[in-house]
Amino acid sequence: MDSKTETFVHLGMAIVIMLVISVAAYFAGCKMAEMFILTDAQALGIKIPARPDWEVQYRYLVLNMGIIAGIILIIWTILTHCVLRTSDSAGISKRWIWALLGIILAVICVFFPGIYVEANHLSGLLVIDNSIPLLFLVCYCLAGYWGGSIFVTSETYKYTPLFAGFFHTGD
Amino acid sequence: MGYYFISVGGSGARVLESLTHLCVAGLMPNQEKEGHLYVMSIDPDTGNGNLTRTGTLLNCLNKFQDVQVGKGTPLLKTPLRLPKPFFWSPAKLDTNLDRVISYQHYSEQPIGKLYESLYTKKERQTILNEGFRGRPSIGAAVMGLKAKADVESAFHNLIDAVKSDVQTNGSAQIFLAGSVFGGTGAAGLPTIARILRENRELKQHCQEGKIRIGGALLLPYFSFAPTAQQKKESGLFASSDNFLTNTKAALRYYSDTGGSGYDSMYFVGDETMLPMPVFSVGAANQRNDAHIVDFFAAMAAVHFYCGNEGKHCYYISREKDRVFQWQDLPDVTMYDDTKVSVREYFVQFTRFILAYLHIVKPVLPNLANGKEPAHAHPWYKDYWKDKIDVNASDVRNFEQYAEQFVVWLDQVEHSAGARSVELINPKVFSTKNNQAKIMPDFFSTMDYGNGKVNINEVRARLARGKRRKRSITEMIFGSKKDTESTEEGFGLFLRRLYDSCASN
Repeated sequence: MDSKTETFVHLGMAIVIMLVISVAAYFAGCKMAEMFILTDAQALGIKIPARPDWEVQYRYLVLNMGIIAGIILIIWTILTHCVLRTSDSAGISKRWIWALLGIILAVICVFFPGIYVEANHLSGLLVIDNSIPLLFLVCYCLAGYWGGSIFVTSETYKYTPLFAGFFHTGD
Repeated sequence: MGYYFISVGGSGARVLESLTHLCVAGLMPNQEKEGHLYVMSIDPDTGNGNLTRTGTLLNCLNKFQDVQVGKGTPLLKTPLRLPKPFFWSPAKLDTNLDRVISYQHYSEQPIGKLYESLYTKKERQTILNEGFRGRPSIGAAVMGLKAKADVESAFHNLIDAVKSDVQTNGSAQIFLAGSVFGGTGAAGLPTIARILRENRELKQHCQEGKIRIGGALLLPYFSFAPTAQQKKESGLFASSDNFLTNTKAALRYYSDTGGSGYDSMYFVGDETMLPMPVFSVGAANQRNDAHIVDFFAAMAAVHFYCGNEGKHCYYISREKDRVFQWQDLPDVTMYDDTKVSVREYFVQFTRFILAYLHIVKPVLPNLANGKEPAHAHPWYKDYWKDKIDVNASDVRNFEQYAEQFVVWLDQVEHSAGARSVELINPKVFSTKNNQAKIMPDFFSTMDYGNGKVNINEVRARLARGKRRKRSITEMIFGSKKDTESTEEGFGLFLRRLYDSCASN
């Protein structure tokens, strides 16, 4: 596989990974809602949308979050395949860029649900408010970005994501 | 099939240096590991700077050549056989012609008087530690006597090796190289070929065509201008004023004797004589830079080893008057009659050496002691970490060889005076104090627009290697070794890097 083909394959993988993660986040969120949504909402006296409406609103939240996480993973993929270059022999460690993108995504995972709800006047959606950012962190940041980057990073930077060495071998 | 190379004198040593690089680059015609290159040098001036440099190179190669780079690669496919010692000095230390021929025993006899009439007193009494001082007549006498007498010498070891090779494999090819215009080469080239052909143990094989003898006879291609003071201090010395006269006489001799024992002869010279910056009679100061003529003479050796018969007269010419380029060199015919482009092999080899010196060598110590993060250098994690000792002698010797290769290449690239040598783009590298410096921005222009491989591409290919995702069982139970693979350790890394440096 030449480097151009590899770039396209990895971009495709990044999209697929985030799609799968989003589906997982959606179903996981729905399952969590099933468990907590009624009891917590009733206990707090909050008016919540009917269950089908809640799922529609949550689906859009997941979709938006998935797009954002996907963009960040694609940025990392493009950076390692096409942008980051070094000609000197001092090494090619770009782990700080990988970490920075991860931190940005983590911050988005934590604050985006709140911002999204405020912007769309969907207060009832976040009845399990602490759980959704946590779920997004696990799904998008850890599994999606960290896990995904291990498989979509170019060969030159294949050990840049933390613990990537566990998944790769050279001989 | 055994290939035997005898360098005669300082110019011959420089040809040997070039041939060594061609050999490592895989341009010898043999099947992988089926043949070998046996080398020896003949020079009375064993401290000769050219010979010392070549000796260092050969020793480095001899120490790392056994690394396992695996099958299916030209890299290191021809083993070097380096006898110890690999040089033979026909004249002992602090001796002169009178002592070599035991003049004192014959001084009152007619033969002694004849000897006196053939050599001046100065020629007879000059100490030969620094060679034959541009006097082939001295060298021919000394070599003729000593080649038969020194039965324990490197020369006789070579004869034994040739004999054994012919008995085992059926044939052997011996190639000699030296200048015809100086002292040692001019004396040794006809004398050694004749001695080999007339040797009791080889004569029959030579007549049957099982042993072929070829020679590269270097015509004048450099000059030097000693000062009046140097002339006074040096006594007898080879003068470049006499080079053309000596050459004319030598060529007439070879013409009259029908080749003087050679099956094939290659005459390589230059129409301009490059002035040497430093004049030296011999010894360590005789350390001339490598020259494009040496490279052509080494190519002549390869051409001979390819089995080309001496029945044809070839004439090599240049496509452009002021430029030496790849198109001027013939392809190499391999053992299976396939043609190999010198350019393809040599450029890949050069890219490999320069990539090692740029990507690997500068960071190895820091990676080994943890000052540099290993994840920034995938090749280190893949091939080196916990597998190769960065201080192993193979590694050290290869690095020394690589540095010497670049210095040699730099000299060849700048040896044509007002003309240019366009083999490897000189913008890609430079040398200072025998240390190579690589210019990564120009790396992709190494082959003048062909095979534009940049340093990042080499890194990516190297990181890619045979890379695969680890299976679940491998993650749990450890790596599964490919049983088909014969590469290992440092050899495996060199192989991967070499393969990563291909033009396409």
